[in-house]
Amino acid sequence: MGPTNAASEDVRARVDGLRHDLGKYVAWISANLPDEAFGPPPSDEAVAALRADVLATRRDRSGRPLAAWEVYERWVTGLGDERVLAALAPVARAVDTLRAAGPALAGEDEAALAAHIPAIRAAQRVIRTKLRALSRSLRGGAH
Amino acid sequence: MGHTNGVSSILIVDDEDKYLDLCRRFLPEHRYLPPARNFREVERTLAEGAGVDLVLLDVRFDLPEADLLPEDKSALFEREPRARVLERLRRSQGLLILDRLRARYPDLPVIVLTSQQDLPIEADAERLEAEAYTYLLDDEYLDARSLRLQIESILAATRAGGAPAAEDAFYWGPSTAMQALRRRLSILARGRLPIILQGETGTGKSLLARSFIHRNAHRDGPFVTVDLSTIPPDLMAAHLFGVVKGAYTGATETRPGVLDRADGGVLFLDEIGNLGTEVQKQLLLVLQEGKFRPVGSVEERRVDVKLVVATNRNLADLVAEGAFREDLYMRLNPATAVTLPSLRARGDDFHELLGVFLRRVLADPYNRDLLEQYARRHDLPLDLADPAVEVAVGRRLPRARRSVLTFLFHRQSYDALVRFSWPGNFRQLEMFLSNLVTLTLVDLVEGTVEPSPATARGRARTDVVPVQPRVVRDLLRPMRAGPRPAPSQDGRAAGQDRHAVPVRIVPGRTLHDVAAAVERQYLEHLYLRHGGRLADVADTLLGDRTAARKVQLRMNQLGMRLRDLKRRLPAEGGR
Repeated sequence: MGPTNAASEDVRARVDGLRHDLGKYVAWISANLPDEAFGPPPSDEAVAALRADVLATRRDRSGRPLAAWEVYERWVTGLGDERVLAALAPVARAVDTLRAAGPALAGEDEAALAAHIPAIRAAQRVIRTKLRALSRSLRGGAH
Repeated sequence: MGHTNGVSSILIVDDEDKYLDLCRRFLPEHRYLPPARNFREVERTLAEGAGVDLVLLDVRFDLPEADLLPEDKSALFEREPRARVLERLRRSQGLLILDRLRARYPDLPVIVLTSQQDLPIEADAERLEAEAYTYLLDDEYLDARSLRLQIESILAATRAGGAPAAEDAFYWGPSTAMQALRRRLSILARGRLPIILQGETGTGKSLLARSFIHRNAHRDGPFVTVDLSTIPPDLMAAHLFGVVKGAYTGATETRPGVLDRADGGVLFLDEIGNLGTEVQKQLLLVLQEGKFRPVGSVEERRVDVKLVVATNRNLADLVAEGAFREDLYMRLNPATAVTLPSLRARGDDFHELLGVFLRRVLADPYNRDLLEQYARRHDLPLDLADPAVEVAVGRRLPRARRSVLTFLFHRQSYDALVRFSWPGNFRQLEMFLSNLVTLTLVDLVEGTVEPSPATARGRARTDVVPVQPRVVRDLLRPMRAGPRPAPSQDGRAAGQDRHAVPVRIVPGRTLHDVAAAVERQYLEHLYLRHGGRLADVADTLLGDRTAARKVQLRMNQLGMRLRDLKRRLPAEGGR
């Protein structure tokens, strides 16, 4: 039995919120750029897109930007459903990858950033696909 | 309309700048207005007349409780825990905003931007897709290229269909009643059935048909209009259905009728009450089977038209009098007949209406020329092609903005305009204001009147155009002496004698028929004038308030339905 059946409405709402806030926006701008833009070397446009997507994935109500890992924690903290947490493990790992790349993304060292870009893009894909799949399964595979 | 030189103005409604960032980056060809975070901000932007061509609307809004629709959540809180209600509202807030937009701005194109998974259960895709101009992006990630295609196709369709909501030639105004009327007409326009427009002369029936219904009907064909009061009865059939050569003496060539010309589009028959009985039968065939036969032809032709008819008379009365076929009347879809309010009935909008019509009459070449002279003399940076206009009343002046022209009315002048009966309605108001603007600007340009009141610091406010009370009086005086208005839909006919009623005489089969029609009009007028109080009507007619029953019986004998008349009573009634 997967995480589906026993999940409460609250858990489903949290995963749905996570999918929306993180899954949808973690590659919001960068998903629209062609692969070549990410280099090496990455174009200025690609760097700006990754910074916007990863370092300011969402904003809180005061307007403060929230990085991808902060968005993740916002939804997952207090999520008590072990099965769902287990299903979220690949997402958690991908979020950790983004967190590790955070300083390079925020910094000016182009070489360091270029080294992180493949991992960042892979993490974006994992987050996107896993959250979409999990959200669907919690809704009973309706989509 | 916001778009100029192909640049369109887009309003993004989103709790963050995500869509704005994406659009600015990948769709830089458009102008983006400051985004609206909630419905209040949407309304504010639209009320400012920012010229919005398109709205992009998100669905999920992480907003504080106070900013969430609906404003009154108490009933929801009674049914479910507060937190769950708010979570639900945040998840579906965009759809609540969409509903408000649909109700108040039914022609404004809206793209709902959301993924399939973000759609709340209560907002099934069918509901969204059922709405024209609502598009569902069925993908988790927004592809900017596909969004561009969506936007371009919608804007192209809007441009092809004529002016959008923001610059409707017909002024709707912000009142709930008018916005409800607008939505209703928008829905009727999209449908297949005919539309009856009722209302006094000058209320904008023709304008509405041409500028609003034709656009909203989304038909490829043209808009063709015929004023049946101007066509001799014996030529009406040939004019409508066409004629084949030799059909009658003088038919020297085959000519198509207006039905041919309107095929695929909208046919507007003004003054439908003038349609001869023989022609009514032929029009019935068009409505029943989509066919007609040109005069002198044995062959039937097929036609596909959306029929809109207008009348300032009560078609049901004409049916009762035998002047209009009941079967045709029923085919015209009387259940959805739309009555346009008179100018008198739009007292709440009068201030705004003045501004709208002043702006309109400033576009007259002569007035524009005068305005240009005035602006040049005082170095006012006015947009002469479409000047921004405000109306001020009394002594209170708005903040000085040299790019906005303020017409300052004396309080008594303004009240006189509000109180005037305007029997010719908006058409009459427009003519009045055109004269008013001309005379006022001539006085200013020729220097016979001081340009403006001085400010506290003694400086002239050249952006303020004072309207002289004598000009208003002089222009109103001859109109007061003119013909009195016909009994209105709202029962507020004006005139010196409270009981004087202008009656419309329609030739009947017998004198009795004609007399009955006149009596009906008179009783209807009295009934509406007295706010539906039959005792007052009896008092007026018989000097006996206890004779209400007699009046009611007489009205019954004449086929007058009190239930229908009651619906026409204004809320305040009996003035």
